Amino acid sequence: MGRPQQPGADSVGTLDLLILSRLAQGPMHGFGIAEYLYQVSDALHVEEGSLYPALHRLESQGLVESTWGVSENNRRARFYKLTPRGRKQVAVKVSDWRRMVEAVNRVIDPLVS
Amino acid sequence: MFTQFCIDVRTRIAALFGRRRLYSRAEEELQFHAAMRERRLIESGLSPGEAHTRAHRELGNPTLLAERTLDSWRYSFVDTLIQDIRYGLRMLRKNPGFTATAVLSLALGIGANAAIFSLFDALLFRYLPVAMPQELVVATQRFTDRDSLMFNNRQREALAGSETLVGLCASRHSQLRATKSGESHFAEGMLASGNCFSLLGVSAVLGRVITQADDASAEPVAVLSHRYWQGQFGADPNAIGQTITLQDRPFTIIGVAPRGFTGLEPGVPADIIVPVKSLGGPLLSNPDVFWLRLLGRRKARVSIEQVQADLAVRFARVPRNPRMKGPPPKLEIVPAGSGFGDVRMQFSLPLRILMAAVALVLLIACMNLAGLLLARASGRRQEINLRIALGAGRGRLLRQLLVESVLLSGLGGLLGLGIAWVVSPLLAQSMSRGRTPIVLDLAPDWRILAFVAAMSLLTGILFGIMPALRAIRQQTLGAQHGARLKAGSRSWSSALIVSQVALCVIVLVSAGLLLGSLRKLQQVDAGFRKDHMLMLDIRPDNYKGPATLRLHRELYQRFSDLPGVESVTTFDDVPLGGANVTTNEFSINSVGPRFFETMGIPLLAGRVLNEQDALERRPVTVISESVARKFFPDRNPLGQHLDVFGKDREVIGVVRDARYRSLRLPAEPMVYQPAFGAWSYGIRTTGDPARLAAAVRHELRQAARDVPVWALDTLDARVDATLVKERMVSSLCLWFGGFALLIACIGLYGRLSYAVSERTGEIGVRMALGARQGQVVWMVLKDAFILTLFGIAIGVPLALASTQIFRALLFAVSATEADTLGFIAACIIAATSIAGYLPARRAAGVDPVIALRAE
Repeated sequence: MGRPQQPGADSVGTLDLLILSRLAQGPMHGFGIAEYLYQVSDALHVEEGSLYPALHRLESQGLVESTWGVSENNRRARFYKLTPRGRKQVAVKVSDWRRMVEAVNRVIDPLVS
Repeated sequence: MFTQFCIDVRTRIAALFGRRRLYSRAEEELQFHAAMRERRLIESGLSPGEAHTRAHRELGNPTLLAERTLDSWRYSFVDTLIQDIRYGLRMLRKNPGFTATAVLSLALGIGANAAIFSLFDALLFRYLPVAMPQELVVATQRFTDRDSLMFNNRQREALAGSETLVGLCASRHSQLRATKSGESHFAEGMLASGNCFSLLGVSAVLGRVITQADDASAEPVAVLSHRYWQGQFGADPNAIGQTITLQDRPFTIIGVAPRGFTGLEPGVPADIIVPVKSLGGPLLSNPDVFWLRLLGRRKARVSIEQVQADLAVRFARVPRNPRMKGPPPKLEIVPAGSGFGDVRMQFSLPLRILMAAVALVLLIACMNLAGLLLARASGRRQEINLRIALGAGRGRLLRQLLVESVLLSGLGGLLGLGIAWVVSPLLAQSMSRGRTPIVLDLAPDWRILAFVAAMSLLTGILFGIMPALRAIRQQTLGAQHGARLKAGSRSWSSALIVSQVALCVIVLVSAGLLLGSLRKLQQVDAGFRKDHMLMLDIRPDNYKGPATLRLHRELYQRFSDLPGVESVTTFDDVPLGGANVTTNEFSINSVGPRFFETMGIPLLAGRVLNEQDALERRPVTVISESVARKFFPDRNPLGQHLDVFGKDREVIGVVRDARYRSLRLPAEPMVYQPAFGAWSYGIRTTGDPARLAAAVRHELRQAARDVPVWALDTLDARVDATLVKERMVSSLCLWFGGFALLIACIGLYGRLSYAVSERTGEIGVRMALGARQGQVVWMVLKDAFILTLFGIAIGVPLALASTQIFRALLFAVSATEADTLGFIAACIIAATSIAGYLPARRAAGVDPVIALRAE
């Protein structure tokens, strides 16, 4: 009954960041988020198997909230959007991420170039 | 931030209670996802069939995914706790017998505790509704044989100057005759010095309070209690400014006290508060009358010891009345934040004893809970094994088991609260058998709720943890150690039974000794006949001179003429009502004609006092035999002379001793002087005296409408009232003791039943080898006996030690102590034998064939 394992992209904690930054642009349903992530970068393939648990976890943490809405093809779909706290988290997570990337770059640049 | 919090809570609650809804939501989301994916694949050129298959393959197992999605919601402490509670409730429902036994015994235990605690709280604990109550102190005079809260005005003035106090206020509870359109009734009044309200920090909710100026000029003003204002004036704001007649003098109502404030004495609420000087004027100048209660407020950062030291010096300097003999009293300063007074003094020890008794009962009930849980833990071995095998953590299991025991104790507490709610007013009623009822605010408040909640939680955790730990440990060590551990758990439950019996002995022996004392006190020959006597008290202080004589003549006549009346008399001191006029050698009672005949006090020599003695104020006296022995040890007392309060009187008769103060004390040496009429009437009746009460009341009204009844009851009831605390404590202790025994027997029964079911195989073998039924019964009963005897052996010395605490309530029981102990021991053995016999008979009924086949 422990915390579910997050495979793939989230193993470095980036799935939450990706989802949150997508939602920062506006509300979207699960499929839309998956598709967006797939379109903007085919290197980051998000498994459905980790997307939905992640969405629910973010909701249980109060970072996103969800309501039923109607999708572009007139089907009932669950739409997610950031809560005020989630919005703050996006900023924090993004700057964290940037700092980490820079730090890693500083280490590896002299080694490989 | 707050809205965020609300969202959090809402989603969390939705998640906790709406698992099914969440699940279907996750399923629908996944279906939507698959459908969208399918459409995209068709758009990109795949055939519908292929698209469908591929979309679903990509998604994987939808059920598993939905489950995992759901898991995101539940890893908080609260979630699992709620799961535990649900599971626990299910387990309790599955074992209704076990649940009922545990909950009921805890409910009675906790209920009894809460009931006694609410009395304890209302009378002894709760702070007065005044500013900074913890700073308040009250002065007490400690004599060699008693404590008194009463001081004279001289002492008050000496103590009031202390630098250690912010101030010292004097007050006195007093029943005031209030007259309304010619008709009088007694109201609970309080005389308060002018600084009382300001010192207490109590202000009026309506109008104003009494001030120093009011008191200094003896202004006839009155402050009403909120209750009295509502009851007598219908909460009319125009009551302010109206007059109210107290002791025949008009008083102006100037204010209404706040709702909770009813004076300084818990149990006797004051309804009308007037300045001390307005009614107590004459007493203030008399240094011989001790009548004021002194309440002080410590200055900030002054300790109670400093106050004590300073006041003791001042107190010792006050000149003493030379007629007072004996060692001078000591002054003692005690905290008074929760009030003071006679009711508190009277019931402080009884309530402490009862609190201890109910605590023991609860302890026994808790041990029962522990015993039951212990037995059940063995019964649940398989279930717990399975859960551990399935990967349940040990902490989680422990919590689960604790949740169950706390659930039990919580249910018990809830039920107990109901019991307390019903019982505590009844208890308060049983306390007030005297003249004035004891009024306590027993509405269940947060303190009682907190008390019960704390009790329940504590009992649940403290007595649940040992069985829970044992239940888990026995699993982890594996099956081969089973036998050894079983033995361990048996010795645990044996220890529980032994302690339970020992605690029962303590409660029952205490109850037995208290009951024995009560019986002894009731058998004491008081020296007068208390049956068939109706007692009427009046306070006709508004009648003066010849009017008084006329009043008493008429009352005498009217009462004597009533059918069913044998004789009528009057007296100052009623037996067992206390002696009012006392010198160091004897007490003096002014009695009317036919006193000795009416009271049934036998004449030993000479003659009794008659009407002529009273009306002509003859200098004669009748003395009690102890006075005769003391003053005329070797002479015939008749014809001798005695100085009675400065008046020379000739002894004309000697009567038997009667007890005036208490059944516990030796008879008061009493000197009787003739008088016609007094504030107390005694009416001897041929039939039930209580049935004449209405007629007597009617005759009094006919004779004098302005003389209200102060008290009207039978002498039997009054004598009874002097034993109210003894009766209350002994009967409650007996109840609690019986209840404790019942719980212990249930525990023993459970323990033996379990043992028999464990030993079915062994018993089968024994019977197959030729053991007779009697032997099997004895084998089981022996266990019960050994445990019981151990318990008694431990309990008796403890019980005897604990009686030291309430020596003050015991009376002449040292002679019968052994009998009581023997009787209690026999009762306990009998009760436990019955509890043991039932499982023993079941053991004897074991069919060896079936038992052996089951092995």
